[in-house]
Amino acid sequence: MNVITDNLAALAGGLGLTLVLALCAYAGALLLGTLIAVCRVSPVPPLRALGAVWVNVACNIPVLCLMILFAFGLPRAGVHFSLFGAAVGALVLSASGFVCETVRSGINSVPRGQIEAARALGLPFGLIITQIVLPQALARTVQPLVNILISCLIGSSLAAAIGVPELTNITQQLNLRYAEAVVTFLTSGLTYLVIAFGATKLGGLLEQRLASVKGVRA
Amino acid sequence: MSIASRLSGPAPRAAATDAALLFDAPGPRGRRRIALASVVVTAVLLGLLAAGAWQLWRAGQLEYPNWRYFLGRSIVTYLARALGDTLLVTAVGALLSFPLGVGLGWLRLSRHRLVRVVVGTWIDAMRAVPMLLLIYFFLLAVPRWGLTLPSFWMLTVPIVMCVSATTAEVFRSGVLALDRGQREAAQALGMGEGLTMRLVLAPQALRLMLPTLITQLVTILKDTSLGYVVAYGELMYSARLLSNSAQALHRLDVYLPAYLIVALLFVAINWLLGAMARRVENHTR
Repeated sequence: MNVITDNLAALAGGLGLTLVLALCAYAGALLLGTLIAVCRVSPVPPLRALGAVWVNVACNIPVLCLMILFAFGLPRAGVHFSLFGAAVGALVLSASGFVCETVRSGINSVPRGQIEAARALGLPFGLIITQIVLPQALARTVQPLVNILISCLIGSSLAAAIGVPELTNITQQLNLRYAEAVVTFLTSGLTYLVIAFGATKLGGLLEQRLASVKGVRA
Repeated sequence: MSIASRLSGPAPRAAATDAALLFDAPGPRGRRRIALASVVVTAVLLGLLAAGAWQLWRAGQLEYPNWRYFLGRSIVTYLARALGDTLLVTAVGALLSFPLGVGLGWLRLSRHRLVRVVVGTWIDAMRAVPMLLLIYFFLLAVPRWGLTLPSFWMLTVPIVMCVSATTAEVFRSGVLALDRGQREAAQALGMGEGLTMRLVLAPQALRLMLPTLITQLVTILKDTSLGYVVAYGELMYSARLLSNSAQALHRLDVYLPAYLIVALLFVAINWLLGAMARRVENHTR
């Protein structure tokens, strides 16, 4: 047990870095993914094509491959990132594709009749979007978006493979130094579990809240 | 039907309606504006591409020998073998984790509370723990107890552990998405719990799952990239070896091209799998 108590500071640092990585990546992915989703449904064909290619590339390349390209590949082309920046960049790129698809399928999941009815009543575009489409789409995308947050969390562990000292990396180092595999791996495994569990609970609350406020059922 | 998935998991597929419903068909003025916007966007995108290419050229990454290297016959064979090993892990991973996942999902629907809780905890844990952590566990911790897996299994076992958990959830939500009448009718006919599942619920759920299973293959294929960590000769690790040997033997820096080619291979295969999933989905609906 000493291995944990003696290295509490290192573990806390690793956990902090994991959280910062995951949250930065998630925030970036939400912004970028929504932007790409707007491109994908816009009436301008090249923007649609850009969106489609983006999603295809982002969702289909392994995050580790992206991290390695950003961290060690691009510097050879004269574009330099810190290891942390490369990890965040790769996670943002990858997650943005999934956010885009989630947002888009959320918008598409609103029944046609809702939009047709709103238009038949003569509501302007802005009102249709803010009052009819988005409230229903949002309530339906909360769960998938929480899943993307959790996968940012899980994905952030890949940064260990390129040498960012986050939780997985610290765990591995401690294991090498102390040979207390069960304790070290169990501790950090449980830590990931607790964070993911917390995020899921939070998402559930948010979903209920959205559903009750707006009077929509997901 | 919404099926929860991890990020590394299948992309949620959008319905075909799209947001076209939101807009009126554009009039002549709107069409002109869209055409103008198209031209501007195309110009900007081409400009960005050109800037990227120029940056690559300036850094000497576009020089002919760097790319010619990959046309050599031994290199093509080498990459093909790496691709084969990647596909082998994917296939074995899928063949092991899909049945296991269906079994776990089945158990999670069990009538016995203890079974439900134990299996549910395992599934939730495997979905929340990073695969890399599992891989480090098998790579660094397990050998201390005298069990050193070959690198193939060091990669495949964690994949099976993670993917089977996701598959279990997909199966469970497939069963739960079925109409309640299915189960009720089966029970009214006097079928037991097991028989109902085997003859009525599971076949329908599996049919519903099929497109998701194909996109799960994409997940597994992407997960094989962790072979980089356990030194298994799949694409990612092979690219590393390749660039090392090119550096040592020919004084060529092919690191960036090697990983770009690997990334392209991943995009191509996964795109094919995604297209297949969409086809199957349209077919089953």
